[in-house]
Amino acid sequence: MNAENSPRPGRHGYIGPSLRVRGRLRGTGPVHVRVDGKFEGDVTMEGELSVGESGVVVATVEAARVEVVGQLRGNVLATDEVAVRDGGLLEGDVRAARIAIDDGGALVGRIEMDFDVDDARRTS
Amino acid sequence: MIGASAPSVLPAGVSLVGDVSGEEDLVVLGNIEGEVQLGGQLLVETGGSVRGNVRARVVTIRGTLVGDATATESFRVEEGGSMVGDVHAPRVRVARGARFRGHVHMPTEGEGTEARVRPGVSWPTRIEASEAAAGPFEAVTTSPGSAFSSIPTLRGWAAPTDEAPIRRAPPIVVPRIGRACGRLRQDRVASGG
Repeated sequence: MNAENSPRPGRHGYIGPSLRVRGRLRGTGPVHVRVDGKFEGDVTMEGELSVGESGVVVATVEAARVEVVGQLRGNVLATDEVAVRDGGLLEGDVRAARIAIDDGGALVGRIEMDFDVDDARRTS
Repeated sequence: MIGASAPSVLPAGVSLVGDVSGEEDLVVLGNIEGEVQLGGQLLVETGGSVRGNVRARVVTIRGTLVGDATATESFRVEEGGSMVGDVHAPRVRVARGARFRGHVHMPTEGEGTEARVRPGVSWPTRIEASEAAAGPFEAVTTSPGSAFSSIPTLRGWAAPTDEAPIRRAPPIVVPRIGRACGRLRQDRVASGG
C-alpha cells in the first residue's frame, strides 16, 4: 500500500520520534504504520510497517510489506516485500516473497525465499 | 509529509497490547490495552478505545476510556465519549451526551470557579448528560449569569439505585471549564430494553 499523497487518517499510524511503545501491535486490513520513535515487542499486520530514519524497532515483524530506513532488529516475515533503504539496518532473519536491499542499506542475518532454481523468478 | 510536530497515531484496525510513553501527542483511533504516558495530549477518537491508565497533559475522550486518567492540565469527555474510571485533573469537562462513571478528583487550589463544589465531599450522584434521559430534577447552576449561558443541561440527577447509599446532594454541574469534586456516576441509559 502506498499512499504518500493521499493520507487516509484512520488507516495511517505514526509513532513519533519521542514515543516509546512496548508491546504487541496487531493490525487488520491495509494499515500503514510508520515508526520514527522506538518500538519493542511484536508486530502483526496485514499492511505495511515502515521504520523511519530515526526509528528503532526491536520486534518480530509479520506484515505484508516492511520498509527499513532506520533500524530494525528482529526476524521479519513478509508476505509481500521487505526493503532496506539507504542508511537502513535490518538485523535478523528475513522471509519474504521479495527482498530489496538498496545501496547503503545493511542486512545482518539470513534471507529465506521460496523459489525453485530451475525456474527461479528473480526480482530486482 | 509528516513533520516533527505531527501527532502520533494509532490507526483504526490496529490494536496495541502494551505501553506507550513519550513527550508528544497521540491520537488513538484503534485500541490500546495498556498504559499511556504522554507529555503532550492524548486524544481517544470516536471508535478508538484505551483500556488502561492514562496520563497526559491534556486528555480528551471521544471514544472509550476504561481506566484512570490523570491530566496535568485538563480532562474532558466529549459528546459520544465514554469514560469508566477515576479522573485526576485540575480542570474537568464532561460534555452533554458523554457517558462517565467514576470519581473526579480536582486539586483544591487554583482560581475559584462558581460551579465549584466543596472539596473533600464525595456524593453518590447520578448524572444523565442527555436530554433524552430527563429526570425529575433540573440541574441547578450555581450562577445564572451570562457566563454560564452555554452550560449543557445536565438533568435528572438522582441517587444511584445500587451500591452506594442514597444521600441527597445538589447535582454536580460541570460546565465548559467546570470544577467538581466528588463522584460522578452515570449508569448506561437503558436503550429500550
